[in-house]
Amino acid sequence: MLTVFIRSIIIYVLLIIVIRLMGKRQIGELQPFEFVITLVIAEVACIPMSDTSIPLSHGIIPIFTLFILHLFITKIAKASVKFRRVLNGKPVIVINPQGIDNKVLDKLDFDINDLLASIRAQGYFSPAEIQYAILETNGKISIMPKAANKAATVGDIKDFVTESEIPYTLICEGKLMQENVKLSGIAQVQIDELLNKHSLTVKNTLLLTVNEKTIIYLQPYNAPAIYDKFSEAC
Amino acid sequence: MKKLIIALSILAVIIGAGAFEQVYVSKTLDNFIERTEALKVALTVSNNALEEAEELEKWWIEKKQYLEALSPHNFFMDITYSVYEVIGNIENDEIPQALTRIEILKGQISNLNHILCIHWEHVI
Repeated sequence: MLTVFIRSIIIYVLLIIVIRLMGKRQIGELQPFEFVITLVIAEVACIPMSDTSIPLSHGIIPIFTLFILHLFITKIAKASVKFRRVLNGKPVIVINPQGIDNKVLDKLDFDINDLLASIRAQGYFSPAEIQYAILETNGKISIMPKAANKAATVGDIKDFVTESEIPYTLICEGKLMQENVKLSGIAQVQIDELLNKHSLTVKNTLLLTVNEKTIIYLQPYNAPAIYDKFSEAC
Repeated sequence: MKKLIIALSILAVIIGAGAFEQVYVSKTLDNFIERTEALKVALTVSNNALEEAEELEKWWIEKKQYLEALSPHNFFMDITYSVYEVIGNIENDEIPQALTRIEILKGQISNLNHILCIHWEHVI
């Protein structure tokens, strides 16, 4: 029992390391070859976890072999468009301005019900609302709606639009994020003054973010959030 | 670049470990066959066959530990049973049975050597 327990920990830690090494794509949008690797890794990892007559190396080596294969295939796919096409296929237009391309759907073995379900999942309840729909290589559908069905944007209403800045997290769970403080251009003194004003310290602050260099979201632990501005606060 | 270096390092370790395993397993099992041959000679010629057999058992138990770290354990069970059977036969003065059992043991070891070493029929 203890052997199984220890093996499970070792294999679990190794899996985390390998999935991290493979990158965020493994967790997000999977291409076919990545999907295969993810499935297979789970299978091979489980075998020595529970069967103590099999050496641990018989689980570890396949995991790392798959990681190495994945890395080389990814590098080759990055370097060669042709190889990428062979490996992943290519995106296909399934709806165009003339309507649904049923020949393409036949080729893909994709039926109308699947198509309608996919476009409904994106918020479009009729193909009439769609200019183009593209079936991506990872199986998802991307939609370009018709102009009349596009959501209005600020650009449609205003002539001149200022770009937003990314908010910076200055304090997270009681810890000061030094790198973000540097990037935001906010001085440490300003942060200290702000916290003092609200009788807080870094340690009892759950979250402090700033965007546009002035707009503050300050959330202490077990207390309501504070919305403020740097220029008014300090 | 960092990932590539890590991948190549892991690849080198895997290939190195694989090569080591092949050499170690092959040498250990070849050694085992030599020892069983020596036991066979001891059975037919000398009086200390039982001591030889018990030495062989001790040696095998020690080597099995390392082999089990590299290969599935069930591969070695039959060989261990055969060794004990040989000892049992010798203790009961059943020399013809002991000699037969030693031949079987040699066959098992050769077969295991073949299974554990890389061959094209195992890959396919």
